[in-house]
Amino acid sequence: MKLLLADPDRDFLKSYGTLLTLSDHTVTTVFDGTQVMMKLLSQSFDMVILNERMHRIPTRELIRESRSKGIPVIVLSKQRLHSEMLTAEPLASDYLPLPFLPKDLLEAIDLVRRQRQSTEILRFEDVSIEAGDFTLCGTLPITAGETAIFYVLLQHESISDKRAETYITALNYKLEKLQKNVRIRYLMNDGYRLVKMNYE
Amino acid sequence: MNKAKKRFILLTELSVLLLLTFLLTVINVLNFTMAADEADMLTERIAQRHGTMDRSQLEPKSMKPASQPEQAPDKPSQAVSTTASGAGSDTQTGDNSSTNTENAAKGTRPFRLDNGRYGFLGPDSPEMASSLRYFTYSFDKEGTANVVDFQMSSVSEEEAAAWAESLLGGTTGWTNLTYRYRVYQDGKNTYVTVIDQDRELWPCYRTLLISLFGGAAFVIIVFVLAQISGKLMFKPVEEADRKQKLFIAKLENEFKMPLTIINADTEILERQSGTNEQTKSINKQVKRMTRLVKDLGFLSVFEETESHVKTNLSDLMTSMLENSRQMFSDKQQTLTYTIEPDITVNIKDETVKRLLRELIDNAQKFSLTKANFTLEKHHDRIKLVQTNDTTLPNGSCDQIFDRFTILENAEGTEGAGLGLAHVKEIVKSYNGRLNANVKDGVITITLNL
Repeated sequence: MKLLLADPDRDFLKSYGTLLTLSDHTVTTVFDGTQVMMKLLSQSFDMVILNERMHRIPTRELIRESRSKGIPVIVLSKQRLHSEMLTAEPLASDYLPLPFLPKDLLEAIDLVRRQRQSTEILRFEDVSIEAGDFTLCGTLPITAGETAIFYVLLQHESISDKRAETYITALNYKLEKLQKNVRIRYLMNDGYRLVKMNYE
Repeated sequence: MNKAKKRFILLTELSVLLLLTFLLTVINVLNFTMAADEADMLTERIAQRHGTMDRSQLEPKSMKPASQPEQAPDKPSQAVSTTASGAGSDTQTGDNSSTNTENAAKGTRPFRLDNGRYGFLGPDSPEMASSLRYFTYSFDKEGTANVVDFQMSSVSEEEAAAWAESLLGGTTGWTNLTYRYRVYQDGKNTYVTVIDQDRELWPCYRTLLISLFGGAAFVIIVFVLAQISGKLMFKPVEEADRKQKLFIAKLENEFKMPLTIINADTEILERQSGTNEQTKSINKQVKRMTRLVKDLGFLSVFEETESHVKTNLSDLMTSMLENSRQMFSDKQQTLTYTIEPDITVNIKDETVKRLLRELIDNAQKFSLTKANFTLEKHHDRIKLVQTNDTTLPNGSCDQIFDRFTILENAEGTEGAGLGLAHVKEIVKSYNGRLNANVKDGVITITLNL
């Protein structure tokens, strides 16, 4: 994959540039927002990996620009993952809180890549997720993590992601916002499940 | 910090209140005791004179020339008992009156003490006889009342006789609030003397009133001053605390990136040269440091605001407890819970997860055989209770919420004593309350949000 890796920390760029190259990716490293913007305008990338605090041009502007070009974005954050982060505008394709292990980053890249390439539409009742487009019901942006959870719930599989509750909370918020009568609830002896709510 | 400030203000207030109460009590008790003593001196003097005061000094004789012979002291005009009136003649006043007369003639102060100095004469003051309001009744063996002396206008003689009779059997004391009485005998009769001490007691009551109102005003002033001084005194401490938290927050953030980079560098080393003892050790130490940094970071600046995303506390708690069930089973512990459905909170899910994680970990680490969780909602308040069996002694054990506190029964247990400190920080930041109590071998941690 052709990756654009952007972070103000040059040591980070050096280490993760090497690591991603060793993992068979083609990596371009930049250390400020202006360079990111210039690269986005001059070259094509399969994915952008950004620090949440880029210099010169704010990260949210860079996310907006990447999304407008259809390039998925992974944001590296010093904050812990929380549901409010997953309801931000503009929304990245996924968030990875620091400190992380190299395999966490590689898994995140792989997950986002697979979903970007997918043409599958996940459906439950009147709720649909277009995985390749990272949208819920074609309107609200959604992260790769939320899509993965929705997929697992559709398959009636058990959830193993430690961050599942955060994704579930964010999904429930978005379903409520879209006024859908579908929610994710914890059912005794069955775990988290997609359920149709009966509002009288 | 607020707790320390409140404690300081409360202790200051209590100290001042105790000191003030002690001082004012001593002053007023002394005041009233001395008034009673003075009254007793007067009644004793009347008793020495068989129920009457020497009224001879009421006459303006002191202005007569010293060479003129003094008149015999008058007997009280109201005295009807010959015995009593006879006893009214006083030999003690002779010397003083002649001296006083001389002094009056010289235009100097008329009364002197026996030692030649001027001062208070107390009951010996000749003016006392004219100013004192009193009555004395004698009672013979048949109980017939005879008036010995009557210098009182607030009661009639009949009322006074009945009053005096009611006092028979006593010795000395206060009657009708401001009257002092004394009961004494001369072998044949029993005498009851009652003196009016209203004017003498008034300054005592005035002092008491001033003490009460002045004391209350003083306490209020001290309270206000303690508030102000407490604020000023704790300002640097609060500032230092805030800076400490900011420093920890910065430290946490500054550590995150190096740890992430070390992870990558170790991975590169392992890929290029293979895994060895050194890379394994680096990975292990990085994991330890990552855990510590996360713990410290959570304690740094916890100034949460309400989240616009509702978190389903009931579902989250059920899920986390179910996921932890195996951990309890592995240690032969029984996990039970009662959770009211669909309780939601406007708190970040990450924060709620952290709170629940710490409580569950705590229960799992320190339960002997069983742990129980209860979640319920009363009106707008959410009550979360966690109980487990313990070896801790009965009583409150709120110190478990302090940072780096590891109780005696937790020796050898993994952890830095930060888990429940996190819980405290979270509950505090949402204006909640929490406490921990041990009763009969069961510890109960109660959270009200």
